[in-house]
Amino acid sequence: METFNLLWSGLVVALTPANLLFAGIGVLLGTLVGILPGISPSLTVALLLPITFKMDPTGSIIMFAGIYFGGMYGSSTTAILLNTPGEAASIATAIEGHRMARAGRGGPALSTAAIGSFVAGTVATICLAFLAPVLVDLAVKFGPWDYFALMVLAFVTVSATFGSSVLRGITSLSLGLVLGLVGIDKLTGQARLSFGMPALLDGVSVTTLAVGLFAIGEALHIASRYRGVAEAVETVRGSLWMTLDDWKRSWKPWLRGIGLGFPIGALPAGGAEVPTLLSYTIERKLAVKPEEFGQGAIEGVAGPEAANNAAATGTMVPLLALGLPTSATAAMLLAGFQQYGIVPGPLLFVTNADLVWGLIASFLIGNLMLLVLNLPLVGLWVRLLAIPQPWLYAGILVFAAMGTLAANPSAVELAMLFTFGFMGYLLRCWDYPIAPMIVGLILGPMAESQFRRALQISMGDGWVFFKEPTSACLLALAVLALIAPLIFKRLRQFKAEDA
Amino acid sequence: MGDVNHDTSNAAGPPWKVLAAVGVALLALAALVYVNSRDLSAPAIAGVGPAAAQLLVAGLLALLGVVHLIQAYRQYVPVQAEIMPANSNVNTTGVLWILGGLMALMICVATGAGFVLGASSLFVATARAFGQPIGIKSTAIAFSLTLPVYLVFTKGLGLSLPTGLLERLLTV
Repeated sequence: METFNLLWSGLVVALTPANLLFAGIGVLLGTLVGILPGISPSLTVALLLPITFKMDPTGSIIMFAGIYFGGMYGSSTTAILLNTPGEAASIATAIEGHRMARAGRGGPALSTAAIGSFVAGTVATICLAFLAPVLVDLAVKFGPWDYFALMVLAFVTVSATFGSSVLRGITSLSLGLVLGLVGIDKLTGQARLSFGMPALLDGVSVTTLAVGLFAIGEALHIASRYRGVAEAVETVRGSLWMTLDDWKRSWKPWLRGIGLGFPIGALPAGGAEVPTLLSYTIERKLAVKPEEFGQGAIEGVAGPEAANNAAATGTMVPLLALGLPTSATAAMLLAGFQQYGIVPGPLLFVTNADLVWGLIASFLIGNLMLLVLNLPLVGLWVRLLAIPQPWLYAGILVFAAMGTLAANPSAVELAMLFTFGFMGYLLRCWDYPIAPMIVGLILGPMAESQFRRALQISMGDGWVFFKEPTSACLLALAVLALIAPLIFKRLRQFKAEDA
Repeated sequence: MGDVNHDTSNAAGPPWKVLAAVGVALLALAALVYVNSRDLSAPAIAGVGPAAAQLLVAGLLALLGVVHLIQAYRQYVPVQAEIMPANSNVNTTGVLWILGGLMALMICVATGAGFVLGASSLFVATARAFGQPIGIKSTAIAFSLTLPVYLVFTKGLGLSLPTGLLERLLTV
């Protein structure tokens, strides 16, 4: 009951005209960037960080969250109409959705994605409102060793457990950790890895790293594969509305998608790719007409889209209650909080209750806005897909440079952007994941300060991490999460050799 | 035959030459982080100082470097490396155009030529990378994007972007 009161007070905050405006701008901007290939929601938040520096924290963070959700709507539109998933979590949607669009059923595909996302977002937000306070009560009792162990677990799950390669994931993470070390140590004031360069004393800016890796890296990667052929956009033919049969076939996949997406997102497991692909597999197994899969089955759009949105809402649980980012976008949101001196975690629910509950309530409003705005605006969004690639990427890079220069107008910052951009290109070429590096840069310094605090309290006794039951369990889980994918890989190889 | 090779190399990750190079780079980075940590002073009264995290990260990097080298050794198949089609379908010119555009922007900022000029050259170079010839059309679009961007963000939002002669003329 208390949760409903808090949620109600949050709605009052979120429904002020200024915050409604921010939420509206956020979801529209998010949809825009979700639709355009080459810009991800995390990149947009990165670009907006320096611009929103002087704005109201609650409004800006509501806007960032709107971008996150809008980005998912947008990328599902791109996946259905262009067969180019705007983000990895839309791959499953692209498989069936694009088939449907080619068969003239683009409208129902877009509708089931939009309505499914709305239902999933709403249910998951209510779950979040109930789960977060429980987690906060638990987290208040956490010591620094527990936090450190939790962060180690997050490092492992984000980089190793669900990626294509444990080695490449951890490598990307550790590069982020190195960048996190650069600059003045907050406790002793000594400079680390700055090599006498004053520009490095402040550390590596998250904006510069994210913009370099995502915007420049992506543009270089696309340019390196450019062949001068544009992809065909599938127009929306026929009715937008779902038939009664479509509804009947959609609602169960939506609910199953939520059931998969929210828990996996809420665990510090990171990413929405796993639940979406899981949902796709399950829907194919359960389908009444399995022969339709691969030919445009509506269940294959409804389930993954709901899972995607529920997982994104789920990642807000560890972010808000523990201050633990488990995806690139969550990491950027954390950077957004930090920019205003706000530290997400259990204390935030006490010190900034208005902001937290306003933000949670704004998820409900944002999802409703997306549902109302996006289906009627589909025609406009489709036209965006027709922007020729040269202008699109040139424009993206101009905004990327603008965002970096707005944070710090110097040639040194641009040189760093250049380096990170080229690094992002190489990482993409060799199939190293990008998100762990961003998470490493943001979470690394936080993990270090918990590590040092723990050792200070224990008077330098390193065994403290293994003596405390909670942290020992979390570290054991981390080891398990690291080894599990390696064992599964071995098993699969073993079976393959057997066969 | 070539197709099959391409598929397996994709599934197994980067080719051995890349793995070896990344391994060496990681070991070098580990050494750098380690050497740098030795300049830091000893820890305070209790607990560990700023060097501890650096040592941990250096150790992790060294471990990853060694694993990369082991993987490279395992995948070392000289014959297969000859047929690797990886480099044949990379549009290097496009990559160089974008990198050149970024360099131009950097030079513009460093020499005080200003944001509008620098960002416009980046725009034109990137468009060239995607097959749009450098000409009146791309230059016109570039300036009609960068000028309003500059005005909106400096006048409207109070941000500071690098100014040059062009920007000063505009704001007078």
